[in-house]
Amino acid sequence: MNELLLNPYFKEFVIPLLAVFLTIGVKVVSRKDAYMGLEREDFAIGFDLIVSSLILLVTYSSKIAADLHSGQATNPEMCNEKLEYLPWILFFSVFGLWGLSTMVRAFGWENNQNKLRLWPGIVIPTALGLFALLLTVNFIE
Amino acid sequence: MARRNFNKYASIIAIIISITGLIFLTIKADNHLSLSKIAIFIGGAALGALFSLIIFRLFSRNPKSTVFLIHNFQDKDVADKISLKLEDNQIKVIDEDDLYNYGDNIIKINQKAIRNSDIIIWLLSNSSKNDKLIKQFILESKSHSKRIVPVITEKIDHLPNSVTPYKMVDISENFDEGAQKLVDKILEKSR
Repeated sequence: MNELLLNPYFKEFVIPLLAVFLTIGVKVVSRKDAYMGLEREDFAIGFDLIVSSLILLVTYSSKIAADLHSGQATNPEMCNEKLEYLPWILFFSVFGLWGLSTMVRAFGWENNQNKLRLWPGIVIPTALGLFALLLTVNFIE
Repeated sequence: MARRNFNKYASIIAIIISITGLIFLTIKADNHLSLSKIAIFIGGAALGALFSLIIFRLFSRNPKSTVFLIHNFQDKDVADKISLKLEDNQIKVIDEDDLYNYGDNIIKINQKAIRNSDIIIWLLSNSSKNDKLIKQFILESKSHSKRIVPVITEKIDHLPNSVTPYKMVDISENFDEGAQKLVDKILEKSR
């Protein structure tokens, strides 16, 4: 198991795979039996991915902060540098999250319908969610 | 109006600032983001989406039947109760109330819903028994050879002649018993 987790491909390949698969899956299986089919809206997972990446980021940062405090950090210089960037990363991520939610509210819905538009409602938010997860995965060393 | 426009433009500016800021921080922090890393990441995400598409298409349970609920707006409460009961039994319900939006062509939308349904549930009450639009939809359903099940929701003095050829379900006296009969009636034909 350790070898699998230490594999450099795990972060870059398995995390996005699991994140996308589980987020879509949970949406589908939590619906009523009669409506369990896959819908276009199930692929609107941008917000879920951004929130997941924020939680991942905060968890990782608290771990390296604890390691630094206890003197167990293998590369204290790098850890310090990462912690310096953390408030800015959180600021830009939360700011982006606000912008994205406002954009979806303004442009993402079909007129008078409870349906998301393809590009501003599904594709752009999901692409930005993947972008946020990519940066977070890259940040975690 | 001005505030709404401000929010629209502010949201786009916020997204651009946040993307630029995050890219700038990534470069400054010397976190190398090579093309191969990006490609592997996108490949992982695409595979995740593909897996979910395949797995949930293969293993999701299809509804046992799809019914179209035609009712008068005054019978909305009883229609909702029936919808819940049917959905609990894995029957997909198309409720005409959920289909319309302001400015829609009601007749066209209903024709589409009728085509997509296996059975038409016609809720009969004193307010709906002579509704011309409902009668038109029932005729439309007949022309598509759809099975029609009239459901009596309250005591009706004179049933319209157009109902008599069908086997009706009465939920006016005992809702639970009547609704169960309706479920059985729908499922017996779809088995």
